[in-house]
Amino acid sequence: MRDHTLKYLLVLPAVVVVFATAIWPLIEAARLSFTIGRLNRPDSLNQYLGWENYTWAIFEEPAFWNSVWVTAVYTVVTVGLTTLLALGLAMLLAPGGRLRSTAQTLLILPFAMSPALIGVSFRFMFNPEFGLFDAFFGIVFPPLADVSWLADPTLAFAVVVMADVWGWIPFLTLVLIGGLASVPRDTIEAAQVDGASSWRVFRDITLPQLGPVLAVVIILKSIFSLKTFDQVFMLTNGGPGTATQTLSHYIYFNGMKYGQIGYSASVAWMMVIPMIFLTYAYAKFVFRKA
Amino acid sequence: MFKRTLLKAMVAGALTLTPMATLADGHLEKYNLLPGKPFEGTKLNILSVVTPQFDGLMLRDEEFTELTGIETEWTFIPFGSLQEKINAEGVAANGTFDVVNYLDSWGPPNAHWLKRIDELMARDGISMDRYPAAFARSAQFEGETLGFPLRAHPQLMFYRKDLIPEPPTSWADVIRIGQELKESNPDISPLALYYNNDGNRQNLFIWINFLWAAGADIFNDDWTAAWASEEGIAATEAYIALHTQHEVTNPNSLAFVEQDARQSFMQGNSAMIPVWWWAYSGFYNPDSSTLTKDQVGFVGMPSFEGTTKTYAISMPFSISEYSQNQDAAWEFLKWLSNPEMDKANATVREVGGKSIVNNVVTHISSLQDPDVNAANDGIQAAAWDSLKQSDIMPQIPEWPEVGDILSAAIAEAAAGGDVRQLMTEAAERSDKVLRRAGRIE
Repeated sequence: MRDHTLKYLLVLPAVVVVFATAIWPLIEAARLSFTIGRLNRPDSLNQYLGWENYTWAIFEEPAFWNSVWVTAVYTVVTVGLTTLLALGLAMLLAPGGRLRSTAQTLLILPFAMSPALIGVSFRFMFNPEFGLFDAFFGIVFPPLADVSWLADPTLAFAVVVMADVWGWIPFLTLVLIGGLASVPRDTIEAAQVDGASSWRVFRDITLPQLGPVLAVVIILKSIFSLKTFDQVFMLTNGGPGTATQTLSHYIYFNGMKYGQIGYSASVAWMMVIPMIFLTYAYAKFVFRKA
Repeated sequence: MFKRTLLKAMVAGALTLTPMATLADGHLEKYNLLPGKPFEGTKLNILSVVTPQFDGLMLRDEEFTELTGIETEWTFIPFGSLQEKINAEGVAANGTFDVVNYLDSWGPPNAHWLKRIDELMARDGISMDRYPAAFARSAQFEGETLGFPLRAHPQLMFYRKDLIPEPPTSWADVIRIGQELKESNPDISPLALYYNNDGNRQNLFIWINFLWAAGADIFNDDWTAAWASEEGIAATEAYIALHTQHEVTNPNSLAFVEQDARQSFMQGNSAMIPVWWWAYSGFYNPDSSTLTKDQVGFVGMPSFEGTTKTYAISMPFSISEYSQNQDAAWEFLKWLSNPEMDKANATVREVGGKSIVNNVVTHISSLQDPDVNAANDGIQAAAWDSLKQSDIMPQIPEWPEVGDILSAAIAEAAAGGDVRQLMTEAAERSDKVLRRAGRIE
């Protein structure tokens, strides 16, 4: 067998699996998005109604735009906070030292937890009567003692963000520590010899050198923030009201709780657009890095 | 000629006596099962919610297997994941489960694959009249019966007997008692309510009592939203005012779902809670509660503006149309829903070596039964009283979506939003949703 043929044969199983688990569902979802697609009427899964699901979401459904807004704010805030805090932690841990390996090991623990478990844990910890965080914040800052965190739209949103940032900081920190290790020590030492301040070294040497890694980190985190579901589902279930309802949660509820699989597929496809853009950017950066 | 006649008589006699012999212990007759084990060797897969009540039934199914030769395999799913599982079963359409258990409001969206059992009931002399009207309606859709309500609940007002000498009979009483309690026992909140919307529309459970008592309803006859009428708005404002104006609710009621409110009552942080009757045994269970049985009292739900009408809920069992064993599944449903079983499951405290904690019954006969009441502190009598004026949520496929719109509006109103504006906007959204679904012309 020629090498040319063999290489395609070796790749074929992976292609088949990707097609069956990713490509085909996407195609089927696209088809469903143009149907009435109500689970309580099996015939409707093949009854086409053109672009109506899309126009319904865009022009008639305030809940759709609410979830778009929540997702956008959530993505910006979580990506910004996580990246900044991870960068700070990475700078602290990068120089090394006896505690670094221990700290790194401990750091990975939150990332090892499933998002659903993080959601449940935070829900318990913010329970207004028996929650650990609730009691802690009440002691540290007594005016917060009587605050029902998960009942207030803004605070509930803040708690969801907090849970996400807590879960993601470790992974991003480890990636950034790796990035910092590739910054040439010679350049930094030369700048220090020339009298550059620590801030100047960070701004003019470290940060530019870290640019590609930071770009990958930001894009990767944006993808995960955009599709956030587990934590929201377990922690607030989109509430209070619809204050924390992200797009993924909205899609899930419409598809699985309300049986509107056609409409749900159309919103999912609208969500695919920014995902494709981000995935393309991610691939481009990773490829360039390689 | 004589020989042939004699032979016929002997065969006829044998055929007559065989089923009689089978019925000798009364079991087949009592459970109305087919004699002769026609489905012997069949295995039924049952999908059920996790609950101690069904533990009691499952632990008895050896008897069913002995009587019919039908084996059973129970799969228990936590309530939080059950709706998705039920919907997925409907989509898969492969008959993995022969019998399924679901919340009543999920029946209409899945009615296309749940077997209608009216003809079978008529054939075997079973009537839905054996259940309170609200329970019966909860297992029906568009006039047809989808299953039997095996787990069904009325609401009761539970209160701390050591703190409240005279239980409330009206919501005005609740406010008065609550305000007195705040003076006498400032460390305990008077009322644990649950205004949070958590996907299961729990914050509608008490609200709807106010709505109905005020003479309003959820829908008009043409399925347009009716809750934004003047009566509906006034009822909603009264419900929200318990928290925002009268301040007799636990301050955390905004964040509470039903489970949190029960926990608050059990830990001694709240003195009253309106909730399903099944919660009773947990309220004095030393493993989960700080309260003793002497401290926990119950009465029917309070009236609003002189009228009491309460919400009831059920979890029916139905046969899947995709099942290959529908006849055997019907035998199982007959056995499972039998009045004797209903009674035994609330009076016998140990089955197969395992303890059973259950006060839930669904038959009128059990609700009125002195033995059942004696074994459960008379909670069935209070429940039966409550159920006489009970109703259920609208049984339409679109209810989960409309209910969630309402639930979000109630949560926002309780958090300080404008009740009229929120309820009106919710009504407009509901009308749009139902118009799109083709329910409103």
